Amino acid sequence: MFIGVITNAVILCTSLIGFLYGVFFILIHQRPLYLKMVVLAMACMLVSRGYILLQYLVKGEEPAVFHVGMLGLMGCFLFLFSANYGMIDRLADDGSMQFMRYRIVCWLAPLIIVGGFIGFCLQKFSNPGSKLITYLAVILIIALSSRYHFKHLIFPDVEYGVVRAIRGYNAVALLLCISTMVMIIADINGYTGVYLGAGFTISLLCLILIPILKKEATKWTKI
Amino acid sequence: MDQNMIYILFICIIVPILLMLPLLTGRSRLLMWFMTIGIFACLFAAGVNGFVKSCVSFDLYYITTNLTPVMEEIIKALPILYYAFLFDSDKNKLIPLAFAVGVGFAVLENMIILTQNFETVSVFWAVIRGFASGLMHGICTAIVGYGISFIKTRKKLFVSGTFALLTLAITYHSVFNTLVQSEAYRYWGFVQPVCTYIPFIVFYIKSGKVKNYAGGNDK
Repeated sequence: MFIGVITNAVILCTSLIGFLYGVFFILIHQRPLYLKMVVLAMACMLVSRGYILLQYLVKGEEPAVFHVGMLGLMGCFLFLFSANYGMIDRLADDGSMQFMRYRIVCWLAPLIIVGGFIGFCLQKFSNPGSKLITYLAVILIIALSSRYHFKHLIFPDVEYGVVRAIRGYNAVALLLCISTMVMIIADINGYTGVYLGAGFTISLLCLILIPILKKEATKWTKI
Repeated sequence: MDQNMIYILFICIIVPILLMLPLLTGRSRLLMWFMTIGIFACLFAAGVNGFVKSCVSFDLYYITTNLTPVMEEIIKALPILYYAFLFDSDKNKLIPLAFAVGVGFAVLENMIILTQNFETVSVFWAVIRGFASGLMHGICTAIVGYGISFIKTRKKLFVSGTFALLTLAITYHSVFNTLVQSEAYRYWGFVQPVCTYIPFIVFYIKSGKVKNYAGGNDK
């Protein structure tokens, strides 16, 4: 319980700082929708960790079945995915055959995430509960999100340079995807040390995600 | 207590509002319509929640913190989604309308909880419950209204964006339900929506959106 409380409390605090930073520097100043969606992703992370922390404090444990904290996590990565897929992917990728290899290579990230989850949790699938099934849904959304973060990290983006300008943000977001996957695996298998490590990594990434994005997105006006 | 108490409360609240609607015009009428829809959404959600309770074997705490927020937020979001996609997705219209749905929902929900706890309620309970529940439901629906006004502009964002907004509202609602049901953190349930509402409303009024909207559309 202690590890769960500490880990979730730290993520809660850092995501709160990240979210407030986003509110003051992005939402209030009416920055582009892409940036607003990343702030909403941080809001999802905040309420998700708040919920899990409360469960530890009130009940002494996280529910062993499906719980709303997982939905919050799902929402966080859905916002990150929506921002990349729905907003700026078309600005970088015109769909021409010239960049086909990048489009294929970027599937590596989701493959690693889904493969890693299935590989480490394979023995649990013999008797899957609702928690494992919901975690699988979370992993699939993380995988989708990671595909676009990895794509925007490696894509040449020769025309506008919109994606090229925010590579640092995409690297941090990709690390957030991987760390969350590791944390989920550790939660399912009961690897306490790994859970703590992944939790601290996530908290650090939550802290720097929006400031990095804001800094890099200002280049959009200079390109 | 009468088995039909929820319907009795619903009729007692909704009939006077419906009688007042023809006298209202423009924005006021639209807001009151959406409040009425919110009251009806609460009645519908009560039925759905009752059905879900009878179908699953979880305890009441688990149901109220994990399942009812999901049902309630989806039901509350439907009229906003409908309005945004069929009529108007202007942020300055959607946020007040979404908030009205949430407030309407909270009105009937508070009445139901009042009748269920008639022996223990007090004026203090009413103040806390009125602020906390009213704001929480309003904020949750307003989050969806705020987001829909953006994602409506991009077809690619529709499915993933709507679902993401709902998860945010559901999780926020669930945190509130967990707080108010705990012994130690009960009063934090009052703090959570107030802390969200005050900065939002200060920004909203300061940015002049209330004034602009009221001036332009109240015909």
